[in-house]
Formats: sequence, C-alpha cells, structure tokens
Amino acid sequence: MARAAQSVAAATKSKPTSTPEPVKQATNVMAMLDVVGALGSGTLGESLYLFDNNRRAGSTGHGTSSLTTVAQQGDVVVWTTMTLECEAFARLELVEIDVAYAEYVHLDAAAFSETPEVYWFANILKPLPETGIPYHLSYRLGSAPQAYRAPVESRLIPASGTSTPGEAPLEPNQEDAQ
Amino acid sequence: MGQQLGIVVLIDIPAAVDSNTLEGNIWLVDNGGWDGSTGEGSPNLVSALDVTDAQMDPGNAVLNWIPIGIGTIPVNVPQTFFLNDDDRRVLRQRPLPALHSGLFPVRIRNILGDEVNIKHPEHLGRETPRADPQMPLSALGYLDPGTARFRRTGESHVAQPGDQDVVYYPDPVITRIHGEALEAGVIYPAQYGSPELFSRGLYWSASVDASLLGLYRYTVDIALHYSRRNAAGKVIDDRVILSHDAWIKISTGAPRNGFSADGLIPIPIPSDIGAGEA
Repeated sequence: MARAAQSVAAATKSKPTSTPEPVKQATNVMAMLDVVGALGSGTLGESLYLFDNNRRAGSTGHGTSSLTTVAQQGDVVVWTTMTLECEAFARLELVEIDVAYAEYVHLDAAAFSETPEVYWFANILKPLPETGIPYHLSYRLGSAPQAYRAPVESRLIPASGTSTPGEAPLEPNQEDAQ
Repeated sequence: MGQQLGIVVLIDIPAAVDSNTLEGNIWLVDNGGWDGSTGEGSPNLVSALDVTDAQMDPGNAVLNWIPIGIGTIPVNVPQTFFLNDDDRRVLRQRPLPALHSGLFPVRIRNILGDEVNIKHPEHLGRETPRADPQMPLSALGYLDPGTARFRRTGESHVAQPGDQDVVYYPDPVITRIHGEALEAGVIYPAQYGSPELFSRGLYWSASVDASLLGLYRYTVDIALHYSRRNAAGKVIDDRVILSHDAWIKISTGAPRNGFSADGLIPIPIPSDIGAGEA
C-alpha cells in the first residue's frame, strides 16, 4: 500500500514542471543526393533519395524522392544531407511548409557546431492533422546559381490510430475553413 | 578517365537487428545512373560499369562500398565535430602561448605593436570557448533523444526520458564481400585503411577485371553492432552479421563523343595504333 501511494505521489509530483517537455524522439530524415546527376539533368527528379529511421512506426517511401514520415507531438524531425560523392557540394536550402500549418511545427535551421554542414529541424508542437503536413525540399548544389526544388512533395503524418479522437478530426476542417 | 563507382549501402540498424534480417531494412544507391545502373534507392541494385575505357587502360574501374546507418551524423561533417571540449580548447589556443610559457608571447605582442601590460599579463589568453546559442541541437544536444544511456536497474527503478535497453552502434561495418563475382574473378575486393574513424578507419574497395563482360552477383556481409542489457542486468556487447546480394553489370558501349549531334557514335580508332605495336 505504502509503496503504491509513494509511486502515485511520485507520478503526480513529476508531472507539473515548468521546464519545456523533453524531446520524445528524434527522427532523422536523411537525403542522399546525386549532385552530378542533378546538375547534369537540371532536376532533382531522379537524383534525390530520401530515407528516415522511423519505418517501424509506419514511415513509407524510403529510397524515393517522396517520403512520408511518422511524427508525433513532442518529436523533433531533423533533415540532414549527404551526397554520393563527398566532394560535391550540397546544402539544404529550404524546408517549405505552408503557413497554414504553422501552428503544428516549429521549423528552424542550424549547423553542426563549428562546421559548415547545415541541418534543418522541426519540433512537432501538437498532434499532426490526419492528412499530414506536405513539404517541399530545396537544395543548393555545386555552384549552380539557383536552388533545386524537389519536384514531388514529402509529408509528415501522425502515427496511425494514435491521434486523440476529440481534436484530430477537427483540425483539417479548420484548415479548410481558413 | 577511369571510373570510381560509389555504392552507398543504407541500413535501418535498429529495425534490422530487431527482425534479424536486412530484408526491408536496406537500400542501395550508386552514382552510375547515367551509365545504366538500375534499382537505385531499392534493395536490388544493379551497378552498371561501362569498361570501354578501362579496357584501353586496365585497372581503371574501381568500386567503393560506403555503408551508412540511417540517422547517423552525415559523413561530410568534419571529424573536428566529434572532438571533446578539452581538445576544442587546445585547438582554440593561440599558437604562441601554447608553445612558449611565461612572458615570451606577451613580449612578442609588444614588439608587434600591441600595448600589453607586461607586469600584469594574467588577463591574456584566458578566453573560454563560448557555447553558441544559435545551435540548439548541436553536438551533445543533437543526440539527446537517442543518448546512449541504459535504463537504470536494481533498486531504484527510475526511468528517465531517453533511457533505453538497447544501444546501437551508429554505422554498419562490412565484414566480407563474396559470391559469384569473386569466384568468376570479376572483382577483387579488399579492405583498405582510411582516416575516417567511424568505419573504424577501414573501407572496402574493389578493382574490376574489364575483360569479363556480363551480369554478376555478389554478396556483402554486414555486421551491426549493439549493446544490450541482459536479464541479469549486465551490459553485453553483441553483433549480428547479415548478408545481402547485389549485382554488377559490366559492358562495353561506345566511348562518349562530345561532338556528336545525334546520339552516340563510336570514336574512330586509327588503324596504325595496332600496326605500330605489332
């Protein structure tokens, strides 16, 4: 009895904290770029391969230029970039998310400390809408003056069956209303 | 010019270890798409090698295998990123104070025109490296959610966010390349040393016999390392070795002629080259 009471007390005690919630999970979306192929063809269409490490939660589209990544509230999604030839320059220029989804994600970019290697990240602020959040990736390649934009969109989606029944169905409707 | 074909092997390590198979957890990409490679971004990669020029200059075609764990820190991040704080501090030091103790560097600075109080030089060279507030996820913070920390056991039963029972080594390690392509003498793979620490300073590369045309299968054995807390509460290092098949297609085509307006035409080889050798 005493032990059970203790654990309840501990549980209630640990809940109300003023510090921001710790990141639940970091999901890495890794882009593998064939820079020479993209510069040669003028498009990212067949030169962008996306992967993430959340396939067990239901992510799909690995190895294609259109990835669907499962992300939940409290997660952080990190976009990193690699090239097939390490000599070729590639930098993630933009993760393009429609402003209508601003309330769901906090999007920012940074660099690995003391290196020029850029990554982008999005903190998931609340459960994602059922339809997911579409986004487009744009890259700087070689010395090309313009950025290369992925021709197909990728998506962040909620885990199937885990979204809260009260809130989640409302949100897409609100989006439509706006 | 010869070819350097890079074959990138991407693996979802936790999923592969959990299911004890690479099936569904491995993807291959190479940079031979322009040359006819197929299956890029899928598990079934056929790397195409056009060895026309390699036949003229034997030993030119080379394959490199680059195994990468999905979610690891990108390979293009320089090794200085992984330095610990002490090493960073040493690197930030000015070279003169590091090499010469006492007043010597201060005198040098006086000579160079800096007005330095030689009697009280204590304030010099004491800059501590500042944490950069613009990099919220850099360095240690970057790994925060997956920090390699085991769930506490024993009497405390305290679990913290990020605690886990299994910790995975971030990158796969190729242990062996074998199969039909080797038995036929088409490729000669070997492990070479490199300054890249995350593959334990080793990488696999192969030269190609340009005289054997055709489609050949080869098998890559890949070790995935992890640590797990066993039933007795002891941390045990372990690994699984899983294998995966891929293909190499060796063919000769026409050497590309930059002047041709309509498709590919063979470059005419003067007949006196053969005559001169005979």
